[in-house]
Amino acid sequence: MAGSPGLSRGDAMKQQSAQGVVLGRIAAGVLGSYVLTWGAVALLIAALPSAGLSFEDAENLSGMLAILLYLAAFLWAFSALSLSRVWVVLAGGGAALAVTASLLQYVVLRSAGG
Amino acid sequence: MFQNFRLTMTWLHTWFGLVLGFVLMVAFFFGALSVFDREFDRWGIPQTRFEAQPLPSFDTLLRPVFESIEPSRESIDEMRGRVHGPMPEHFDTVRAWTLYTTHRDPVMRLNAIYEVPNARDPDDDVFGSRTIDPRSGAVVPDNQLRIGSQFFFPLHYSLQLHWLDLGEWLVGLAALAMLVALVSGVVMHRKLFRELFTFRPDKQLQRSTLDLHNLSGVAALPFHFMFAFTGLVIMAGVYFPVAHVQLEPLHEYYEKLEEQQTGLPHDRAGVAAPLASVDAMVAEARQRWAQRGASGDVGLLIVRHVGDANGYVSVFRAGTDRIGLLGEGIHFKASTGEVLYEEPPSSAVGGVTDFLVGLHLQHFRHWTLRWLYVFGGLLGAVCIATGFIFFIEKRKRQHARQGVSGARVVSALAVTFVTGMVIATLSLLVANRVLPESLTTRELFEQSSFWGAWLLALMHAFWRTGPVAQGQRTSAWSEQCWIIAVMAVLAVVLNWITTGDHLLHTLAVGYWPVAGIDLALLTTAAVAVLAANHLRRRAASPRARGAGVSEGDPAVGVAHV
Repeated sequence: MAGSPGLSRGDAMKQQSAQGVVLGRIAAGVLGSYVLTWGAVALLIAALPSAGLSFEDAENLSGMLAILLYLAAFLWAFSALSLSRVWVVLAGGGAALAVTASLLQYVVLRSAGG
Repeated sequence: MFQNFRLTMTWLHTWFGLVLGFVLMVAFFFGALSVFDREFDRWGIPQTRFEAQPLPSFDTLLRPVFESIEPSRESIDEMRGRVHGPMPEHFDTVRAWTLYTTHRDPVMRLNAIYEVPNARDPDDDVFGSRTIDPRSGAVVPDNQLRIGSQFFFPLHYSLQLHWLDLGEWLVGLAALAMLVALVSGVVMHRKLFRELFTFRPDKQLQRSTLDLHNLSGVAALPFHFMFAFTGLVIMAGVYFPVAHVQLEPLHEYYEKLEEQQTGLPHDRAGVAAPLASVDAMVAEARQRWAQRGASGDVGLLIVRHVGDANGYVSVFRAGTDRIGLLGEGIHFKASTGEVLYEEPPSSAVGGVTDFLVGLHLQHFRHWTLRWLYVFGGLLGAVCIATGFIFFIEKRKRQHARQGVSGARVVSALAVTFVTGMVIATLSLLVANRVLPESLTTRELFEQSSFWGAWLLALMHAFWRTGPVAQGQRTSAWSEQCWIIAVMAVLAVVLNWITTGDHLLHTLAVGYWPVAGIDLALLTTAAVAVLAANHLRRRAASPRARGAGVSEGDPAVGVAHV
């Protein structure tokens, strides 16, 4: 609960920065984890059919793993020491996975002559 | 964020549990009611109170109904703005006819999906439906709310908040919070437990609230985890529509590839063709299931590309005796009735998916398990509600000293989302029995009575929780308990008056869909009275009067029903 009366100015500033930290963690936990999970799902869906699974199976399997990955990433975003590292791994990792998935899609469609 | 992992988990448990706990209450409570969604439908639409029916003849009974369906006004309205130029006057191309039925459905809902020629997204469609009595083919009027399957069930996963699909995303986040709460709860439980929760002047009630919180959380831990998890798995494609956004080209490529393997046409041929006897196809499918040692009923029937040479009919076996909803799909060429493709046994991933989805949606026939689902869901509601109570009890005196309104706001919201939610539900049932059947906008009134009653409960809760701001107890709980008791009995009495189906009759003939709900309503009333009495005794005892302790019990009692 915010803004208790009778705080000194220093306390108020401390509280404000604490709120900033909390918001930063929530953003990383909710949005950052989403980016990472999106990337992972994309790569799995793009890669698994080439490994012999049907497209539907690839979608289903990646959906199940997505939930568990999101949960793990979310918990980690709050417990990791460095918030900037969290962002690098979640957003950077997610982007990298997504780009790889798109490349893979391009290769598959290309080799199929599409 | 904090010095150690355990403190971080505690913070997550408290704050995500609190904020999303209100959404979780809705998901758990209405999820528990949705276990008996079709029974609520029967209770609310008396002319459908008869036994579940087998699939009637398609050729003579269902087909004329399918052909008479037109796109609904709502679906056409929704389509506006998603077309190039003006909206078409009529929709002649039927993309598909579908019918899904289970061993609990006396009436059948027939759906038709139509192409929109000038749609911006060619996959977009408009649709319509018609509900029939399969014994005669007579159409059941659609102006009555299917309380269970049309209201409670969507409320459970979408909060009936359809703008931008916001409700589905909120429930998804809440389900994630449930998983987080379970993981963090287990982590907290180890040692920190004691240090965290001993700062309490009125030790006893807090202790018991916390005990119940832990008990309901831990005892049903696998249930809670599986339901949050499988719920998310069902909706994974909504939350991560990767295959329809980023990988849409790849998706289309594999669909075409699959079309070659299965021989099931992805698109229309553009050449008109008649529809052969679907009854013969259903008979053939049944025979093939029997040959495989899996005799069963039809659960899902789909006619795709209606009226086209590429049309085909898919017949799926109902999973009445299995976890998975459907299986053993057999596909027939619509114009000739020859078998195009018989689905092979599902793959490992397919089997796991069917299992997880079926586990959540439970369309199998097993009444004991069905009731266990209800109790599991209500135990989840108890767990969340006691979490609220604990949050309030832990802070209310401190907040009173500091002049902060946090505990009071949470207390009012807790009342709203425990007893208030039950009141809203009962208000819908009462309105359902009072409103005239001829009313064309009946559905709208029924829903308004739900939201209106909930809003009143919210206002009452905020009005009566003033004492919490002084660290005292509130009478909101017991007052709402009395309202619940009166309304629950009223609903049963109104059902008797308006339909003649009183308990002695429904029990005597063994019509459980209505008898079960009436009995549950009476149990609700009884528990509400017990809870209110318990609260009164507590308020009267000198110890409680000084310490302000009676937040917990009604939540427990009511959520149990």
